[in-house]
Amino acid sequence: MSAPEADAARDNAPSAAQLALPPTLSRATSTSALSVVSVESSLQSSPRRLLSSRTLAALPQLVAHDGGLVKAAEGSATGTPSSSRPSSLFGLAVGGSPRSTPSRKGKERALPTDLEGGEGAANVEVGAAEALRRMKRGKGGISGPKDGGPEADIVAYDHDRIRNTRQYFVLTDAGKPVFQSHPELNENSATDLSGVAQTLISIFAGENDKIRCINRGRHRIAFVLRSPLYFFCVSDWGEPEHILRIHLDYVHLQILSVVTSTQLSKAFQRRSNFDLSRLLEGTENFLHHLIEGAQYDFNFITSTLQPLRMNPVLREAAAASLIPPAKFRDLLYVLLIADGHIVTLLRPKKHSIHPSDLHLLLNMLASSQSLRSTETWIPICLPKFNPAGFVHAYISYVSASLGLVFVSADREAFEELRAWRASVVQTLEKEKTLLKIEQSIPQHSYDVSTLACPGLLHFIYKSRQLVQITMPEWAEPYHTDGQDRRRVITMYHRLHDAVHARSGQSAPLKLMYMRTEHEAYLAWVTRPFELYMTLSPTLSKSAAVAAANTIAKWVAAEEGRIFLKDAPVF
Amino acid sequence: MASRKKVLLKVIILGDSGVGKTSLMNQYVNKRFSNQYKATIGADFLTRELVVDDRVVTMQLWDTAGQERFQSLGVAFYRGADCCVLVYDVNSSKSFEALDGWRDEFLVQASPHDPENFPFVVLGNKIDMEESKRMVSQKRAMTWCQAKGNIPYFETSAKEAINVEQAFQTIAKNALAQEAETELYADYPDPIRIDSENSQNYGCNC
Repeated sequence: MSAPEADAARDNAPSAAQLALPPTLSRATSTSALSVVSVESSLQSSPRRLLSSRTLAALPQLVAHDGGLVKAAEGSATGTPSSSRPSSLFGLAVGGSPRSTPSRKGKERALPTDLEGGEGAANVEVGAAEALRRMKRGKGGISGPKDGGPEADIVAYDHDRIRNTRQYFVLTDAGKPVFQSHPELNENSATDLSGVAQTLISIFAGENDKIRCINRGRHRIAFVLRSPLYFFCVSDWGEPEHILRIHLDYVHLQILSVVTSTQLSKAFQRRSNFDLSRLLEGTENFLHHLIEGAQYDFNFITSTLQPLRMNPVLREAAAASLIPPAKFRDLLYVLLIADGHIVTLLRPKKHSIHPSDLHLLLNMLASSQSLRSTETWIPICLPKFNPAGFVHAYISYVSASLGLVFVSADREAFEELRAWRASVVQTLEKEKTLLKIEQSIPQHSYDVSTLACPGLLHFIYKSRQLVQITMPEWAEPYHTDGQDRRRVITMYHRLHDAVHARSGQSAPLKLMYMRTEHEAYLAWVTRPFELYMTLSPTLSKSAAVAAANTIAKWVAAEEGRIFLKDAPVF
Repeated sequence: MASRKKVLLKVIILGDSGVGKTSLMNQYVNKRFSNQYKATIGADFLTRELVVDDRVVTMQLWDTAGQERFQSLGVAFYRGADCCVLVYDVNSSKSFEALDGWRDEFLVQASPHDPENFPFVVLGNKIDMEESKRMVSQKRAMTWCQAKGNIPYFETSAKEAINVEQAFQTIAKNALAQEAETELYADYPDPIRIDSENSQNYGCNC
C-alpha cells in the first residue's frame, strides 16, 4: 500500500458496498406465493459480477442470469481493486477476487461431515417413510453445497471466531444502523451493511413482498421486518429459519422493553431519519446478554421457563410469604429469583404472564450487576402484556443470588412496595426460608446419569401444560461452548422444526428419529409433553424408545421438584 | 440529553447521469479519481467519519444511479435522509436544468417533515474543464440556489479535489444543525390501567 493510500485508509476508514439491481430482478412482478423467498447466491467467474442471485424454484423469474444482486464496489471507479476494501454481507456480498485460501476451504468443508453429511441420506432414519419424505422436502433450501450449485466462495476473515458466531443486526427502515452484535468480527461497518440490507429489503418491498431469508453456501441470513425497524441475523449453524426469526423477534422485544412501541412509532412518524441507536445508548448490554443467552437456548424457542429445581414444600412456603396485601391494586407480578431461576411467581387472577415478558425481565436482571447492589425502581415495557406503555419493576436482592421483583402498573408505588418488601423478607427469614432456598441452588442442576439410563446423553423435556422445561447439565463433550454442543442444539432445533412443521412441512410429526455418526436423536410429542433426546448412535431404536419412557417416568416422579405448580394467584 | 455518541447522517447524492456523483464520493472517501466512467447500478454506499464542531459524525453516503432506468427504488432510498446533495456538471446546461426535477423528486419521495428547511447542498462539478466548455455560470447557479431558499453552493472538481472537502463539511454541518433541533422528547406515556385490560391468558399457568 502506497503512502497516500495508507493515509486515506487511516483518515477515512473507507469501505464501500455497491448494490446492483439487475433488470431481471426489478422486473420480477410475481406477487403470489412469495411467502418463502430463498435467495441463493454464488460467486461467478467474472470479477465484475461478484455475486449473482439464484432463487429456488418458487421464483424462477428472479433467477439472475445477467447482473448480480449485490456486488462489491471494487473496481467501480478506483482502478486499484486491492486498495478498496470489499464490502460483505457475510458470504452474501463478498468482494475480492473469487478465491479463498485453500486452508480456509478445507475448514469450510469440515463441518458438513458432522451436520449436513450426517443427515444427508444414508444415516437418516425417520420414524415413518412419510416423515422422511417430509423431512427431506423441508430440507430443500437449507443446506449449502449439496443443493447450492457451485460452491460458494467465502472471504477469508482473519478471525477463526467469525465462523460459528451468529451475528445480529438492527437497522431503521431508513437504513440507519441501530445495533450490531459483533462489530469486532466485521470488516464492514454496520453503516454499510445496514444500507445494503435496507436496499435488499426494499427491492422485495417494492413488489409488496417481504424478504425472509437468503441462503448462500453454508450461510443463512434471516430477516424480520417490524417497521420502523428491520432485523437480520447471519448464521452458519444450519438451524431452521424459524429459529433465527425467533431470536430476531426477541431482539425486537428487548428493544421494545426499553422504548415502547408507542414511543418508537411516534419518534419515527415525527422524523423518519430518527437515530434510534442514541436512544438505546446504555442498554446495549441487555441486547448483548439476550443474544448470548439465545445461542444455546431452548426456553425462547419453546416459549417456556425452567424454574429452580427444589423442594416443593419450600417453594410453597416462599409463595405463601409473598401473597400481597389486597390494597396493592396495580400490582402485576411478584417474583422470587434464585441464581437467575424462578423460585415462585405470583400473579393476579385475571392476568397470566407471557413467557417472553418473563424472559425479558430475567434477562434484565442477569445483565446488570448494579441491580444486585441497590434497590431499583425501573420502568420496563413488557411487550406481550402491553407494548404501548411501561410498567414499573421494584427490584431488590436479598443476597447475592436471591432477588425479589415486584412489578406494578402504578408508577408511584415505590414506597409502598419497598415497605412491603421489608415485611416479606422478615417472614421469609423467620422460617429460614431464604437460607433453605439458598441451599437449594447447588442442587438445581443434575447430571443425565441421575436417570441411570445407558446411552442417554442429553434431553429436553417440555411440559406442555405447565409451559416449562427441564434438562440436565451439558456433560462432556458438550460441557464447553463448542462444536459438539452446537451440533446437538442445532439438531434439537431441526427436530423442533420438523415435529411442529415450522418450515411449511405438510403436517406435524409425533415421533422422529435421526442418526448421525456422532449421535442419535429422538423427538417425541404427546399430549402432556414434548421430549427431545440425544443418544449414543450405537443404541438401538427400541432402546431409544425405552430411554424416552424412562425419562417420562422420571419426570412424572420428580415433577413437584422440577416444575413450578399451583403458584398462588391474588 | 447531550449525547456524545457518534451521530449518523444519511446523505443522498442526486443528479443526472455522468455529472460525477460517484467520482465526488470516491474523491471524498477514498481520495481517488478515475477518468473511466462506469454507470452506477442501483446504488452505492460509502462511509466516512469526520468531526464537526467537536462531534464525531459518521456520514452514510448513498450514491444513487443517475440513469432513469435504475430509478426504481425511490422511496426506499430517500426515506430518512438527513441531507440531500444535488450535483450537476457546469459544462452541461441540461444537467443544471434537471436540478429542479431532482429536488422535487426528493421532496416528494422522502417527504421530510419540514420540506421548507430541509438541508440541500448544490455542487457544480467538473470545473477543471476548459473555461470555453463551461455552460452554466456561477451567477446563474447561485441565483437558482437563492431562489430555493439559500441552498449552499459549491463549485467542485472531483478530479482535482477542489472544494470537495469543504463541500462535504458543509453538508455534514447543515445536516447536523437539523438533527440537533429535535432532541429526544421526554413525553412520558400514560400509565397502564391493568384493571381495564381484558383478561389475558397466555397459557403459562404457573
